[in-house]
Amino acid sequence: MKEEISRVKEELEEKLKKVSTLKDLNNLRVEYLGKKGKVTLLLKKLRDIPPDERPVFGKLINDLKLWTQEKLEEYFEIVRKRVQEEKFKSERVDITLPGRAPDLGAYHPVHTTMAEIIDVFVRMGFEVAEGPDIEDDYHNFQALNIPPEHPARDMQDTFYVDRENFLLRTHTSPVQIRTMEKQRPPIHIIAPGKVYRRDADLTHTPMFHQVEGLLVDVDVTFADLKGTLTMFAREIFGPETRVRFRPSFFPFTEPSVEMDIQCVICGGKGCRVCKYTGWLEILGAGMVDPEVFKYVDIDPDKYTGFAFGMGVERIAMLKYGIDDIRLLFENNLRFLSQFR
Amino acid sequence: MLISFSWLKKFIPLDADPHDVAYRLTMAGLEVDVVEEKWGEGWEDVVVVKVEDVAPFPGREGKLVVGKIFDGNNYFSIVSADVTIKKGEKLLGVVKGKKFDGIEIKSRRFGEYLSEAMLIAAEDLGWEEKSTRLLRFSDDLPPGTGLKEIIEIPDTIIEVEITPNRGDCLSHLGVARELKAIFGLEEVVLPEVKIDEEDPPSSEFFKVIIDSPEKGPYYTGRYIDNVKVVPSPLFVQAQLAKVGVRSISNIVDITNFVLMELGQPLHAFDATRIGGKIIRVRSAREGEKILLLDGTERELSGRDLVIADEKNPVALAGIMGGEESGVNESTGSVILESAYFNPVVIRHTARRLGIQTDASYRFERGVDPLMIDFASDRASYLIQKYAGGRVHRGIVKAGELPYRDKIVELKWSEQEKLLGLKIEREKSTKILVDLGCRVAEKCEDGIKIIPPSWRYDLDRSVDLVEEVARIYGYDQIPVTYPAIRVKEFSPVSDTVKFLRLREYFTQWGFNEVINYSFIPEDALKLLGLSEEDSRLKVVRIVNPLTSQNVMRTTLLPGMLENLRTNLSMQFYNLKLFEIGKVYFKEENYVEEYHLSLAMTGKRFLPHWGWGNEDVDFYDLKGVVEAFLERVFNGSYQWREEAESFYHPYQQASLWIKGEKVGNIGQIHPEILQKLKIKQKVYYGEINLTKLFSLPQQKVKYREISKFPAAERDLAVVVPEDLPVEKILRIAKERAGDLAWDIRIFDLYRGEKIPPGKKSVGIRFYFQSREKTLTEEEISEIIDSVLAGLAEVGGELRE
Repeated sequence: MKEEISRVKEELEEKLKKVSTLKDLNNLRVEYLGKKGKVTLLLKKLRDIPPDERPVFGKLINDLKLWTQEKLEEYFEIVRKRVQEEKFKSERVDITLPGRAPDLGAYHPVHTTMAEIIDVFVRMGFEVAEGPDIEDDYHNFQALNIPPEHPARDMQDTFYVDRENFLLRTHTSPVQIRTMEKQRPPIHIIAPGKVYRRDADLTHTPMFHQVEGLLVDVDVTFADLKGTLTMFAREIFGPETRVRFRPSFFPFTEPSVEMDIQCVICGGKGCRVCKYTGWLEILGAGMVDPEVFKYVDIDPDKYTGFAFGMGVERIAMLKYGIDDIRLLFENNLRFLSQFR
Repeated sequence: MLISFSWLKKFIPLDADPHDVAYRLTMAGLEVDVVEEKWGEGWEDVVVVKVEDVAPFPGREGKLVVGKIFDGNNYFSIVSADVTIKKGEKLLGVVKGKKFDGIEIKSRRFGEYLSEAMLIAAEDLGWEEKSTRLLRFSDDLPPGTGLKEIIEIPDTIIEVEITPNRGDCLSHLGVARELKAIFGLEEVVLPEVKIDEEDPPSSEFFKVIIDSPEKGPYYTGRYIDNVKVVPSPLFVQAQLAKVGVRSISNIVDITNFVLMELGQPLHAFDATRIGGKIIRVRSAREGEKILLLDGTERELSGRDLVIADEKNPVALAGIMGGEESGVNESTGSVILESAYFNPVVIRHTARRLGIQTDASYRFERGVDPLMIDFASDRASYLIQKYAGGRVHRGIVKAGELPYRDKIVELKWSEQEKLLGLKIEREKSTKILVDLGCRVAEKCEDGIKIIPPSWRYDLDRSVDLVEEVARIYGYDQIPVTYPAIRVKEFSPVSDTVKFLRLREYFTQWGFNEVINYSFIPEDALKLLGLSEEDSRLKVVRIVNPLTSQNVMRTTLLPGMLENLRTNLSMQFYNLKLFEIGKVYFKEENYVEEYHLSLAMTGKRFLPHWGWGNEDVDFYDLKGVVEAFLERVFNGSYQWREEAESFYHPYQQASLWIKGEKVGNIGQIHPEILQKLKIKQKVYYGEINLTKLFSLPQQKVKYREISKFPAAERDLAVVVPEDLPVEKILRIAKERAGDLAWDIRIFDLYRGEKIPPGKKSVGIRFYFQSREKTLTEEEISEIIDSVLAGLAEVGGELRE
């Protein structure tokens, strides 16, 4: 009897090792624990054993039954895992195949740059104002203190349209005038938009984009202008950006200034882009000329202000290292698709 | 303009590194570039040589000469290509063993002859281009005199770029004055004038009459005879060469020399060519012609100003002299002009005729009124000294100097308020005085000053604030941040609102383009719009730069052009969009923002993971619908449209609250054919200004139903021409609130159904807010829908 018990045990251990499917395991369960199973039969054989030996063998056979159950369960887990593993394996993906992504379009770099510039000033508290592209002479020139014989007013430089005294604005500065006509200080606006000049070459297109700024209030100083524009330059070109302010001339500001940043291409060492000066001109600015305040009836004794204007294309070209402005308006996908 | 350092030093004791000078000038408002740091380096061995002997080169007569020169110590044989060399003439040369531009001069053999020296041509020095003419000069310099003894070499040359208000800096004197203020130097020294005037006075030889005082308010002339027109002295030629002016002859060179020196343009007439001994400063007659010194004949208008003799114009005032009255070798007497012309008149004429000269450039910006007489004296003196001229007494003057002293007050409080910095009063005053201002009076809160005659840009207190600030240094002004006060908000601007929309279209695979606002009118005509179409109410550009002569009224022409360009570059699958303005000529000019969308080619980029068909009408329609879903909460309708530029049966317009806000469609194949586009293009344009002005519904939360939902599919066969929208409307009416969504999930045409019919699969999503719907209730609704569809010819598909 003992031998039989250990034989059944050994036999089962051998068979378990060969099991590969859950079905095989089930068959074994039936073969050993089923109604006519080998372990069940052993239990039945207990009746043929003398009563005094029954408890001993009874325990042995019972242990065998428990052992069998445990083993079957153990192997059930092993096989289940193996089977699952095989299934997973068959579902293996090639992680290098491209994913099913929606096609992504590209943003035009000029609008992206314009949006970034707007964002910087909006965070400072400026509001965004707007004016027409088709302007009148008064707002584009006269109220900005640009005299009638000024070269900028020439047919050579300005596009005129089919009604007298109307033109395509040559800068976004007329929005300053339009804003000051409607609002009283404090005024703090920026005005982004398209502007037009009769010029076309490697560095000029007849249409381009500007962002204008105007801050008018009590106690606005040249020092504030420097602070505001320095902060702007660092936001756009990086916190380490060095700037310098040079005296300049605009009819509608006094004192007038141009802001340079240290060349972003060569880091100030001097290169072709900065014409070996180490500096790049970024924008023009100045304190609002009292003459301009007179046109819009703001008291220059009470209020001061500063204004600034910058070309979006220039900033975009510097940011992305684009060397020909015309690329920006050819809308060639080989160019555009680089700006996703 | 080009500025020579050695020339500046004649005015001020300048002793600074050229790069520092350039930097300081730039930081004071004159943009400066160092052009040449060592002009003339390598010419230290160039000396004056005398031609002792010269003869034609035997066998090469007329092409070469042979001769002998003397350099003060030795004789050298030479061979030269300049056959005009004369015995006794003085030239510049470098003898063997010495160096020119760093290269040693060696003997060279020409047949039997040796050339032991290099004779210098203007081209060798870069003073002229493409001219083998040997350099000639008129001063009597002993052989062996070094070029370095005549002019300062090496010299530094800088280029100064001025702003339009700083015409006073267009001379060495002007730049010297700036440097004086920047570096706080001694007073500027004016050049020497020592004229021995002779009788009879200038006024005996000619008269000046000003007929147009508003255009030419002040005119002076001086009579100088006995002149000999020859090449200039060497130092004049060299000095002009340094600043890029070509040498012509002593008289012309001297007028240019004084121009570069003092900034006052001068002109010398051949006195014998002034008919009637009268100079008139008058307006040109309409259509009057003049042959100018550059050889061109120009037709004049009544707005131009001329200098004329008794009959004809002899010069275009302030711009260029006339050919016939010009100085040449035979000239023996001259009238030297020094004048003031109205800058606006000069600018107008110069621009109209497209001529810019050194003279017009300065007159346009205004010359120093108090320098006019002095410049005349200075040039007269040089002509006396270097052209043998006999200067006749006095200057013949006409008109009035357009100048009076003016008093401008600088207020200390304004200076501080504007700059955000307190600059010491003494410092401010010193800067203004250094710039040539005179103090008229010191006040309680400021100082009254008289600006110098050359600075007519200084009119107001604020102008003086700028002067002090720029010399004090913008970099000395602190950096502070303004207090931006919150105020009542304005509505979000269109620019910001519409820039945000870019997000949607780029996510959906569309690439953003920006086109010019102007288009060729022909591109608009191509669309075949009817005459009354508002898109033909174009704003016309009077002076277009190219064929783009009208402002766009639709974004379509630009987009078609973009498609064409990209298709020609083998991009066959395109999705593009643009957000920008269009312009109409109504009673006023009207500007609206539009959105354009274009699709062509495959639906997706090539991909292993899905099928890929060509885009069609519904791709574009879907994008527009998704866009509306995002930005517009409210109902809209698609209606049939009849745009000339779309396929007649593949187009629709978008209507919201009785307003048309856009259209979509397949671009008409005939239009594409003209553009050589060979694939179908779908296009849509939405009026964003209108869309965003329409009232929208607010989003309102509705309670979620707790009861189970049920789906039911229904396939109906309907006539081909029945719009699906009608089916949906009937389904919605009959199903009522119980169907929270109804979708078209299938569309079939083909063998399994009768011809002229289509099968439409409709899916209903039922759910009640009050109870669980029973099978009977749902069937009842479906039956009702079927009954409704039966009225329009629909029946259940078997």
